[in-house]
Amino acid sequence: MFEDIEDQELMELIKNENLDAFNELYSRYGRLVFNLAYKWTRSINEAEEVTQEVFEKIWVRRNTYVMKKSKVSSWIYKICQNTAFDFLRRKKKTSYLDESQLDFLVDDNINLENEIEIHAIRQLLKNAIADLPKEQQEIIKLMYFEGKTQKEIAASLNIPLGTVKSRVKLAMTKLRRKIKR
Amino acid sequence: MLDNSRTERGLDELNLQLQLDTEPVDPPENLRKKIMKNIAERKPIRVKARND
Repeated sequence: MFEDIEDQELMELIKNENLDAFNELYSRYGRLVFNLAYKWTRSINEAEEVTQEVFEKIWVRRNTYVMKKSKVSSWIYKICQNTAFDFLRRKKKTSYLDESQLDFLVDDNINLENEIEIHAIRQLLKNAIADLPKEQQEIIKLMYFEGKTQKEIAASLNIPLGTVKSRVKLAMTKLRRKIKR
Repeated sequence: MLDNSRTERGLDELNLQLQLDTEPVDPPENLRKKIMKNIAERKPIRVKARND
């Protein structure tokens, strides 16, 4: 129902307490928030806790989102970053994080607002995906353009989950290499 | 065919995932349900104004 509307329009619906719009927001950002949290906590259970906390905060603070100030993705990223930081501090788990990971958490290195840069990266990624072997391309497209989980992809292509994961790993390595060039 | 904004969102997510330098992990299947349940419980019930 809301799949094709822009993020900012979605936020306006969420401000009006529309739960279906909130469910769509989870479809768009749930996996990303979970993966950010997983990167920082290194635990599936804790990443789940952080993700729950992030989405609760998004709901509670929905009226504080100002369209002109930032993109929805940047706003969510910031909430995620702060929530993960507070979580790690609370749990006193920072001891196993090395310096670079803490920098990643504290500093705003990831630029989600520079439209020119974002446009260039999108184009670079499109070309890089097109250069992947067909079976890796297919999986990346299903994951990122259709929002499917790796488990759903395995079921729909009738291949083992392990095969999906190894194709994703190979594809990500190649894509990472290309965008770092 | 997918519309642009969905494709762009996918590319942005992929880009961020690549920057994380970790392989993507599926969130637990019941996570969406848990979150939506929590939110629904927080959501105040709206009572329609009576006309009488």
